[in-house]
Amino acid sequence: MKLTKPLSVALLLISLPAAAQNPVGFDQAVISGLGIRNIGSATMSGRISAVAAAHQKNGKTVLYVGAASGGIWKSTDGGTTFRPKFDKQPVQSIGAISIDPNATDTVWVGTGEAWTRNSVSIGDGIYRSTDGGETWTNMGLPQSERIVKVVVRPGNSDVVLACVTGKLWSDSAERGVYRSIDAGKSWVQVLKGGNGSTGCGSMSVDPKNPDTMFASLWDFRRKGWTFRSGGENADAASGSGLYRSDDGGSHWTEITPADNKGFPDKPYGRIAVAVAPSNAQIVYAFVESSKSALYRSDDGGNSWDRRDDSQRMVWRPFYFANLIVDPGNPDRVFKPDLTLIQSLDGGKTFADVGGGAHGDFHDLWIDPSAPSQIIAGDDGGLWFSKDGGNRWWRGNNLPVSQFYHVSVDNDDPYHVYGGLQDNSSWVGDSSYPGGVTNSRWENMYGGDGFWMFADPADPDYLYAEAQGGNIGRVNRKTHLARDIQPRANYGEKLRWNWNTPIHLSANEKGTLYIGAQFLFRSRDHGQTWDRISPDLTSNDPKKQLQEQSGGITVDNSAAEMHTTIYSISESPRDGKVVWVGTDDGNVQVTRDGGKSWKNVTANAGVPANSWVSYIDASHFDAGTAYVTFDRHTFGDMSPMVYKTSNYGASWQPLTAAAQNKGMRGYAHVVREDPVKRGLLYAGTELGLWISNDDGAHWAQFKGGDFPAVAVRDLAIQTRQHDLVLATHGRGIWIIDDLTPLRALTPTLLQQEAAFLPTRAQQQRINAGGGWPEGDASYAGENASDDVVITYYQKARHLFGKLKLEVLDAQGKLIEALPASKRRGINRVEWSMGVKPPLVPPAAQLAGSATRGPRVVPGTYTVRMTKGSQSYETKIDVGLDPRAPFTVADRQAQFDATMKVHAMFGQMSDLVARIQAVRQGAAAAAEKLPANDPLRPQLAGLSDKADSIRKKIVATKEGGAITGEERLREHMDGLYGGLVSYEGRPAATLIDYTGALKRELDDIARDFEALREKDLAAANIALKAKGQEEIVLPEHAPVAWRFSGNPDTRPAERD
Amino acid sequence: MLIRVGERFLNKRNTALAAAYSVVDASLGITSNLSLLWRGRASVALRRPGVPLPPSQRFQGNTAMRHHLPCLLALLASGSLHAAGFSADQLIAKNLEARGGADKLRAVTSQHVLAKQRLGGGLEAKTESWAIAPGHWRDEFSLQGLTAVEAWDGAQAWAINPFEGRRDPQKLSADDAKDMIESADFTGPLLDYQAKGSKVEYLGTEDIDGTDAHKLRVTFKNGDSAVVYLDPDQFLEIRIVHHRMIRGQERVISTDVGEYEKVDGLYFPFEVGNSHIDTMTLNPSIDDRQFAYPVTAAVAPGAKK
Repeated sequence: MKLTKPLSVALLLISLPAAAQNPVGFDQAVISGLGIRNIGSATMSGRISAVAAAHQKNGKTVLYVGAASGGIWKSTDGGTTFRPKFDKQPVQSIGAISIDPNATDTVWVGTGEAWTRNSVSIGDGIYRSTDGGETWTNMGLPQSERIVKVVVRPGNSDVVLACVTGKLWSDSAERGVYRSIDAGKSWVQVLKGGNGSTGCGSMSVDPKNPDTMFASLWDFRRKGWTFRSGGENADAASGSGLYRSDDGGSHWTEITPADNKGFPDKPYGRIAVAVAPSNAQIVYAFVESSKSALYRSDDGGNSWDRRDDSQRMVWRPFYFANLIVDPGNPDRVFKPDLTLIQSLDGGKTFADVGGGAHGDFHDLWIDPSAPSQIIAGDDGGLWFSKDGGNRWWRGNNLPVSQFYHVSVDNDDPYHVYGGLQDNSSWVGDSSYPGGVTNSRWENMYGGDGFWMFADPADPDYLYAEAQGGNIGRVNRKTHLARDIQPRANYGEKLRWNWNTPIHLSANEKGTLYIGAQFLFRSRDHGQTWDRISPDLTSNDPKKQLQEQSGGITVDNSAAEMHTTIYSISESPRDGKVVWVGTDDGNVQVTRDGGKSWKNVTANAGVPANSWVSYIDASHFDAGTAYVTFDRHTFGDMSPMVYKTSNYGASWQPLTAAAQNKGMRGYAHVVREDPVKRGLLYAGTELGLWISNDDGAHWAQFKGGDFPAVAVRDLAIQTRQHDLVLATHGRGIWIIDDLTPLRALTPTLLQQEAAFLPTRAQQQRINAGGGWPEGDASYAGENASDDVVITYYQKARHLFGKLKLEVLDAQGKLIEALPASKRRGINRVEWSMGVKPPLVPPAAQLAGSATRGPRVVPGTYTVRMTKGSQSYETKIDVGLDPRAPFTVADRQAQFDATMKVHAMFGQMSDLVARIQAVRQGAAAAAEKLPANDPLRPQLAGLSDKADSIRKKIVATKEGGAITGEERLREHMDGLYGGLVSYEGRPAATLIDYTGALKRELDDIARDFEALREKDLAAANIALKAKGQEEIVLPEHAPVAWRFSGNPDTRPAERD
Repeated sequence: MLIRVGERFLNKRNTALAAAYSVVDASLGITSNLSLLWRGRASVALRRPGVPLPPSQRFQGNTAMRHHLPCLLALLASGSLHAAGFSADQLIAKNLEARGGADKLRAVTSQHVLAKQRLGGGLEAKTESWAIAPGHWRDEFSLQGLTAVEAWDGAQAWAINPFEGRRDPQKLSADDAKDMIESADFTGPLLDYQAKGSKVEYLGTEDIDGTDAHKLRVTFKNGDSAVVYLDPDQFLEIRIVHHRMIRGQERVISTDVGEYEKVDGLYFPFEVGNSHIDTMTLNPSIDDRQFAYPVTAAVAPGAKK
């Protein structure tokens, strides 16, 4: 930090140079100034795992929405607008939200979703905010991984219960019910399962007598190839059970068929339990067993009655284990499910009330003061019902979409393609006039979406897929889709991963790969496929028993399909070199286009069977590839990024469990920069990391508002040099122009300041668009249409001016820009507009004349002055390639606009002289005796001058649409026509310029006549009386650009 | 700092330029909003940064979020020990010392500021403000020779908005006076915060565009708050985030400050949001009549002046 001002020695002693954090100087603060923008979308939104709301004492309703992997969103206006409240926290997966009933500004959040599908994210404990979500403190349970319910005791905010589901992929001790009696300072496990895979599945506390509570224990485990809710099958032993406590959780009694009449026989899977808030004797429990059903007790859990067991009630219990009872009506019960189901008869019957909502519901809130108002979350986002849960309004403002993958095309602006969890495959604009609104995204396929590409050989088509390798070729205009999935041979089964890889050849336009256990290649848009490999997986039969997956309730949705190909990468340097990674630990490579394959996994030295989550073949060398391994399905959340430079003969760990180099979260993707060797981008479950030394060091990217969200895929748009991020929980993000990042050499990082190179600068078409969609709609941010000036600073600039000036080819100053002052990369936009014209004051603003035309494309100089140091760089501004005009046309438009710009100036000079006559006449008259005959002469002079003024400017006041137009207003209209279209101006406007010039000259002539006759006469008379003559200025005061004219001061000054 | 800069230009795109374009259309809805372009310049927090607003919202979203340049200046001028080893009071002491000293700040009772506000595309407005602590505030915004006024005299806030031909003053609601009331405390809420009835909490550090800044929350008597971020080396403010309840809803306004200059031995930021201060005078003599609601005849619509 450069100290340009004296401060006390004490201050200096305690200063901690921020740059000391990383010896190489390539750190989070340096790179994050690149900035990032989110383009959504909220169209498809994403899975909502928890909803909580409360009426506050001030009468307001506060609503918190927990996204499965996109943080917490708060609304105080009934869901019209939301603000993300958890973006600064290290995890984004939300399992539970609980508003303290005693103090609604206190909010507890259990992180880690407990709807344990295959793609579920992870949490890191329980959090509390005491200021409505502005700040958060992690209050412990760090190994919980997932928490499904949190309850604050009514009447005592220090007592908190947490239903800790626990780890999904491995045994762990931190699971069950935890209680704190000191507001989270310490926790005691008060209900614990009998084994390392049993945690808390559901919990409900009687709000009137909070000593009474129910909790279920749930035995569950997911592996890469199987899942169980309960034991291994419907008959196997399970740690699941339902428990009741009558002493606030200190002691628990199991509900059993022996002691509790009517309760079903073991073994159980997941149990959802809910006490009716209005009558605690009534308790509902959905019990997953070999005869899954809803049970109801009318005596506080002593005895039970079997109720509904319809298809929806028993559907996928691991994913749908939540019961919500109306706060006032104990017979009204909702179960979020594949659709939302509701009972109005105490659970005897249920009906589908999901209406037109997306489906796969997980949580809902019933307004206790108006129980027909319901807010529900499902896999498609947030929904509002005003009729008790029959018909639904969609929330259009939560950009929590869960992308698996992303790709881009080469249109201008380019499009973004990708598929999402339970939300199909979409194409969106990377920029669009008016912003990337929800309507700029188009659904192209169905199911869960994954890889998606424009067909490079036929722009009318694209490839998309649904789960299990269901690839289709889709006409993007008609949406006609053709199933092109390769099929099995006789007596054979193809194994397709849930997230089956599709890959486009970089060497052959239109060549396409897809992987089952074999690698397939098509050169005819998928009509035929060549099988170009043997089974590249371990083909371990023990991992192919998906038909038995699910535990008590079979669940074989393709999510557990295993021993499959999971990643494919053809070398951009050599199309015969293709890398394949499998979900069971193999990296295989062919160097002859698939004739022969070599398994090179063993050389990497990673634990067996690690998922090969991504392979990125190098742009620079056919033998080099970067690989991410992922062992989160074994409970190991470490990032593992590896590199080989010799076709897999040996491997170098760039991050690993033993040395994560600051990287957090299991790795999904690594991409090598296509321009600068050794510049790497890695996406993990908890964010984006960048290295500029081939993986020796990594810096987390935290630009803008980018949270610690899962980065599942990365694409680089090579024309724009943009990095496009597919996040699983916060949609698509774009880092515009990586060029400056590529320039950050160690030498440069040691400089105090330096300009950084950028991509070619364009004067983008300055178009408007969009339309009022109300406040309850999301719009993604566009790329800048301006010139973006980028520079580096070693330290934050705090004292004195940091000057940033733009000069033209002649060295003339065009604009002084506000400088960005952060440490590291800084970006400043230059709009390229020259100063607006000087406009004579009138009754209203001349709107078009509030801007100047943009400069003509060419070379400009940017000069930065920082203390005594000065830095310069040149920028070449080019035309937008889409512009239908040439630089010569632009020059013609600029010149024509500046001609009217100058006419405004002449007009202003004229008005300044007129006002000088009026003010001079008035001032002179003041000094004369009341009956002096010169007084009426001066008054007449003033009136004549004013009548000329009124030919120039509109003077009607009062705030209405006066419609009054004088020369100034006509000129503003002409100016607007010229400045708003940047091509060669139409002859109509040129002719009109001539007409208005004549009118201006006519008025100027009138004034000259006045000056030579009336003013001259008055001045002679004044001189004769020994008074000062009335002197006229040559020009209008520069201050007129702003103000300074007493005539236009508000009435109070008159 | 892309986002912050982006916000400035977002404002430009969404207000000034859009307004300029819209006036060509002479659309009532748009032009009526044009006059608001001087309001809420730094007010972007309601929408996500950089998210374009549809045309008619571009103004309305900000109508109640007037941003007074010196209001932010005013903020630059408030426990328990935190993990970082500081208490709120220690940080406040360091801040006041870095700014030139509490006694010197207390000795400043009036202030006049001349500034330029960047509206984008090369368009600038002149702004001028006068304050007498603790209860008098007036600021003016001038463009094309038209000058808008708003003021607070300790009891009533009012405004004159001439951009569509009206020059008579209009009274403002109590909520719309909040920022002016805060502005009138131009040596900032940290100075003598207890005496002002405010509370200050230290909330640890937070990354602010690459600077691990100390975070203080000032909660005012009326329940509104401002989060003040201090540079960890110099203890001067680098960002202020206001949280105000306006007609029952929270408005969040974030402003970056920097380019500190010394005025009479006290440091003030001369770059505030999208404004740059040209001159600042401390303890000028100010006629306090200009703060009061003017007694003036209403001008009828369409009347000729």
